[in-house]
Amino acid sequence: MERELTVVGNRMPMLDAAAKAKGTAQFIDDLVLPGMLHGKILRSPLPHAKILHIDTSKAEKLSGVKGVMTGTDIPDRKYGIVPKAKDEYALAKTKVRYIGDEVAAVCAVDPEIAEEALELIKVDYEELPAVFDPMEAIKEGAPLVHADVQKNISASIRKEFGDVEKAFGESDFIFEDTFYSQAVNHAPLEPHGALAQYDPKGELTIWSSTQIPFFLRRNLSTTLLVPESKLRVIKPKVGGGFGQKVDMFAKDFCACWFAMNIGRPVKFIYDREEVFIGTRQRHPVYLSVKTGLNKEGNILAQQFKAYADGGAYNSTAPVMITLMGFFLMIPYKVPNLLHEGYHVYTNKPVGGAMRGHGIPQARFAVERQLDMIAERMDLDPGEIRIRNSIHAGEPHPAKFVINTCGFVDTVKKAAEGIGWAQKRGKLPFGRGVGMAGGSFPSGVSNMSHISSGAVVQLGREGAVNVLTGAADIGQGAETVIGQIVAEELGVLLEDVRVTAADTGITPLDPGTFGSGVTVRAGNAARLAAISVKNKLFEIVSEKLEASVDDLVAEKRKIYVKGSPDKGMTLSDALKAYQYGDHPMPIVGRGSWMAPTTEPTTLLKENGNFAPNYSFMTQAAEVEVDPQTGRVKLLKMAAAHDCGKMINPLLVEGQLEGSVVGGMGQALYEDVIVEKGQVMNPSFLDYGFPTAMEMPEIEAIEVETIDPLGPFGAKEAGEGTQVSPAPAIVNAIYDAIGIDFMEMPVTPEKILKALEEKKK
Amino acid sequence: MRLPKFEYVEPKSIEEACSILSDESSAKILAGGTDLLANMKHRVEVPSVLANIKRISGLDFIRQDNGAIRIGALTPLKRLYKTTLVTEKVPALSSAAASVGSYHHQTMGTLGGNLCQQNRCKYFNQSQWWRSAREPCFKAGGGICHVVNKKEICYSSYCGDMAPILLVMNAKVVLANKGDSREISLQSLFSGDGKTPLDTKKGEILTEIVIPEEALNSFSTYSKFANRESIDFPIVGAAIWSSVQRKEHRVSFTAVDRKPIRARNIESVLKGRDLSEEIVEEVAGLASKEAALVKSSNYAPSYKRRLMEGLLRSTLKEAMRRS
Ligand SMILES: Cc1cc2nc3c(=O)[nH]c(=O)nc-3n(C[C@H](O)[C@H](O)[C@H](O)COP(=O)(O)OP(=O)(O)OC[C@H]3O[C@@H](n4cnc5c(N)ncnc54)[C@H](O)[C@@H]3O)c2cc1C
Ligand code: SF4
Repeated sequence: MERELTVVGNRMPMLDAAAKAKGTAQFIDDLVLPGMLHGKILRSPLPHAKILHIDTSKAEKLSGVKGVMTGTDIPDRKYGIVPKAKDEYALAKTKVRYIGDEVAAVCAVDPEIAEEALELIKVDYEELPAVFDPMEAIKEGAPLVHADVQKNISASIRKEFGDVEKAFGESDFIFEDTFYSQAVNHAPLEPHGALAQYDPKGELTIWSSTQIPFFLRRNLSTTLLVPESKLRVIKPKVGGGFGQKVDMFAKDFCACWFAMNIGRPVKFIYDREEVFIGTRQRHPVYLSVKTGLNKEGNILAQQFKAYADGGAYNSTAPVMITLMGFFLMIPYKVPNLLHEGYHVYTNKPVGGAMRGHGIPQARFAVERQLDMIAERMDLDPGEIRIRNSIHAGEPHPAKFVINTCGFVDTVKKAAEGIGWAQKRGKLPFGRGVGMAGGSFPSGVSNMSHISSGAVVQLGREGAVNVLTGAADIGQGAETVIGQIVAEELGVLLEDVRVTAADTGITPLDPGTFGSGVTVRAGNAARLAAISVKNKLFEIVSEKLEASVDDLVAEKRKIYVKGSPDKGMTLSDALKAYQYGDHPMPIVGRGSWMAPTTEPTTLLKENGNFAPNYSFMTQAAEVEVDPQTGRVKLLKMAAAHDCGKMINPLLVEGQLEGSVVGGMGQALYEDVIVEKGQVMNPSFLDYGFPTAMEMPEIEAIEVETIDPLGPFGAKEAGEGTQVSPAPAIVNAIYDAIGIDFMEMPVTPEKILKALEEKKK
Repeated sequence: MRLPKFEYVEPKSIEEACSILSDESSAKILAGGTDLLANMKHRVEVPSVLANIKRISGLDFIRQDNGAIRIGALTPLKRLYKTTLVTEKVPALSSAAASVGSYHHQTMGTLGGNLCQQNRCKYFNQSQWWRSAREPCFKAGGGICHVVNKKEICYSSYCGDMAPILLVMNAKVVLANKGDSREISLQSLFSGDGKTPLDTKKGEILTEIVIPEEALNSFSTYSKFANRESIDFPIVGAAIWSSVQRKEHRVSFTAVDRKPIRARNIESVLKGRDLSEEIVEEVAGLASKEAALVKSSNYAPSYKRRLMEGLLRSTLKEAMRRS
C-alpha cells in the first residue's frame, strides 16, 4: 500500500452494535416460524449406566406433545468435530456416560408441555461403576467409559523436538514442578439453540447458534443421512461462543430430525444448567514441567507431561493435546522439547475447545514455573522472558516460520504499563505485580481443508456486497471483513453490506476457531475486492490515461498516485464502466489458505504451523486482604502484538474480555463436581466476575506489519487469553510470597496458605 | 427453566390473604418473588396457590411512632437506603439492604420477603432434574440428608442479609392472622429447623418490622463477605450493636447455621466491659463456636470459621473506633 489507510486501522463500532444495543438483533430465541414446535431434551441423572428400556408411551399421550425420540430411532452414525475421534450419538443408544448425557427428546406446542412430557418418560437403567478422576481412570481395572478404549486414554501424543535427554545432561539447573488447571465454563450469554425447518421438496434448513456452520452441515449430513446439498445451515446473531459452539449438539440433530419427521419447524433452546452441564468446558489438566537451563538462564530443554480430564466424550481431544504441546515452542526458544499428552475419559462433563484450546493450561504451568525459576536463580521475571524470546527470521527449533515477532517489546511495554521497575518486590505485604507471556497462531496452515472463500460485488451506485462464510459470533468478524473490503475498494465502511455464514448462500469457510478468521477470511475477502478493483481500474486507466499500477482508490474516488486532482469519483468510474458496455455488477472472487509446504500432519515431521503468530505479555497488579483472603485485581496492562490492528476498538474488546476470562480462571471460576455431578451449574453459584470486579485495563499496542496477514494483521482473539491467568497468580506470589500451583486461587486457599506459612 | 402450574390470586386485604393461607394447604404468599419464584422453577416449592399481597395497601411504609421505627413488610429493600429516616437513624439497616443480591433484587425484593426467605443448601437449590440424580432429601420430602445423615434433621442454612442487623437491634415483628395480630421478637420467628425455617402459625402473615427506640442511638454495623461484590448471598455475614454507656455489645451471624444466630456466649463475655484490642482478640477466637457449621454450601466449614472470626474482629474494631 503506497497510501495512507483510511478504513483499516480505525476505531470503528461493530456493524451490528446499534442493533444489539437496541435489542433488534435477531438471535435464535427471536426467530419464530409459523407452526413452530418447542423441543426439550431428557438427560441422564446417572454418571454411568446401561439403558435397559425406555418407555415413552405416557409422554406421547400427553396433549400437546407432537413427537418423542430416543437413541434407538436414529441412524447408527457417530459424530464428532474431529473426524478420527467420533464417539458421540445425538441421543445415547445403549449407555449413558455422564450426568447430563442425552437420552431422549420431545417436541410439543409449547415449552411447558415439552418439559412436562420429559417427566413422563421412564428410563430403566442398570448402573455401572463410574470413574471421576483421570489419574484413576488410567489405572488397570478402572471402569471403561467407552468399552473399546483401553485405560480410558482416547488420544495421546508423544512429540520430541531435538534431543531432550542430552540437553538435560548439559543443563546447569534443572527444575521440575507440577500444576493443575481447573475446569471452567465458557458461559456465553446466549445459551445454545437451534431451529430447523423442512420443506416438502426435501430441503432442510437449520438456524443454529454455532461457530462453524460448514462443519455443522457436514456433521448433520453424516448423522441424519441427508446429502449436504439438501442441508442449509444459517448462523443468525450468536451471543458468544468462546469455543463452546464448535461442536454439533443434540439440539441441532433433534431439531432437524423432528422437523423432517413431523413436518413442522422445531426449536430447541438450552437452559443455563444445560449449558453448564451438557455442552463443553475447558479441560481440567494435571501438568508437570521439567526445565533445564544454563547458568545465564537460557532454557536448554523442557519436558512436559499432561493428563487432560476429557469427560465422557472426545470432542476436540486429539487437537487439544496437540496444540498444547506444539505451542510450548513459542514465544520462548526451547531448543529441545519432549511433550507427552493424554486425553482421558471420565464420567464427567465433556471438555472441548475453549479460547486458547489447551494452550492456556500449558501456559499457566510454564509461566508460573518461569517465575519460580527466576526466583531460584535470582533473575528478574521480565529479564528471563526477554532472554529466552524467539525472534523473527531466526531458525526455529520446530521449523515454525516467524516473520514478525514483537514479544520482547510486549514484555517491556507491559512492564512499563504496570510500573514493574518501581513495584516488583518493592510493594508492601499484600500488594504485588506479576507478568506472563504468550504467543498464538493465527489459524493453522497444515490442514488443507482449512480455507476460506469470499465474493465481492460492486453495484452501479457504489454499493458493495460481500459474501463470506466467516462466522461472526460477537467478536466482530463481519466488521473486520467489511473494513478490509472497504479499504481495498476505496469506499467507506457504510457502503459495504456483509452477508455471512449461510451455507446456502455464502462461500465455504471453516468457521470461527483457532483464531484464524481475520487472517484467513480477511485475506479471501481482500483478494475478492482486489479482483473487483482490477476490473474497474482497467477502464479507469483508459479514461485517465494512466497505468493501472498508478491508480489509487480512496474515499469513493479513484485518482493517479501523487496527483489527487487527476481522477474521478467512484460513481463516475462506475458510469464509465457501464457505458463502456461492460457487464454489471462487477464481481470478484477470492479463496485463501495459508501457504503450506506439505498438507500433512506435523506429528511426523517438523514444519510451519500457522500463517503467522501473535505475541503478548500481560502484567497484573493485585491486592490481597490477609483477613479475608480476597484478591483484588487492581490493574492489568496488556500488550499484544497482533500485527496491524484492523480495528483497535475490537482488539481492545478482545483484551478486555481476556482479562475477565483470566481473572475468572485465576480467582473465581471452577466447575465443582461431586461424584460426577456439577454442583454449581448456575450464574449465581458458578460466580464468575462481574462488572464490579473489573480492574483498570491498559491496552498497549505493539504493532508489527506481517507479510501474510491482510494489511499486516495477525490474530487478536484466543491468544489474548493465554497470559492473564498466570500473570495474576504470579502477582499473588509477589504480594504474599506464596506459590500457588493450582487454580482458582480462592480466598479460602489463600487464608489456609497464609496460616500454614505462619506456622 | 419454567414455572410449574399454580393458581394466582390477588387478595384485597390482609384478612383475605390469611384466609387463603389457612384454607389452601399449600398456598404461599408472593411478595417480590425473587426468592420464591426461583425455588418454584427448581420445583423445591410447588404451591397450588400464589397469593400476591402486593395489591394490599398499607403494607409499604416507613415511619417513626413513639420513638420506634416501624417498617411495613412490603417495603422494597431499595427504599431502605433511599429513605432519610432510615439512612439517618439506622444506617446499618440501609447498608445491609444495599448488600442484598443485585440492584434488581433490591428493587423487587421486600423486607418481609427477605426475612421469610427459604433456607439454602447446595443439594436443595437445584433443578428437579439435577436433584433426580440423588435420593430426595428431607427438605424435599424424602428420607435422607446429603449433608449430615444422622437424625431426621435438615441442616440447610439461613442466608438472609437483613436478619442479623435487626436481631442485634432486638427488632420485633408483627404477625397478622385473619382479624388478629401478635408481636414477637424477630429471633423467635426462626424455628432453627432447616426444613421449616419459620416458626409461624398457619395463616400468619408478617406485616411489620419494629425497631425499638433503645436500639437507635448506639453504633451498629453489618458486614457481609460474599464471593463477588454483587449478586451473591453472604458466605458469612456478621452484625454488631454496641453501646458504650450500657457496656453492652450484641453480635449476630448469618449463613452459618439453620437460622440467623445471636452469639450469646460472646455477648456474655463482652457484657459490662469496654471494647479493647485484648477483648476483641479474646472473643474473636470464640466466634466459630457459636454456630453449627456443616457442608451445606460449596464453601468449607473451616473457611466459614475463619471468616466468622475475621468479620467479628473487624466489626468490633470498627465499633471501638466509631463509638
Ligand atoms: C440471584 C439471587 C441472589 C440473591 N442474593 C441475596 C442476597 O445477597 N441476600 C439476601 O438476603 N437474599 C438474596 N436473594 C434472595 C431474595 O432475593 C431476597 O431475600 C429478597 O429480599 C426476598 O424478598 P421477596 O420480597 O422477593 O420475597 P419472596 O420471594 O416474595 O418471598 C420469599 C418467601 O417469603 C414468604 N413471604 C414473603 N413475604 C411474606 C410476608 N409478608 N409474610 C409471610 N411470608 C412472606 C414467601 O411466601 C416466600 O416463601 C437472592 C436471590 C437471588 C435469586
Ligand atoms: S441439609 Fe440435608 S435435608 Fe437439608 S436441604 Fe440439604 S440435603 Fe436436604
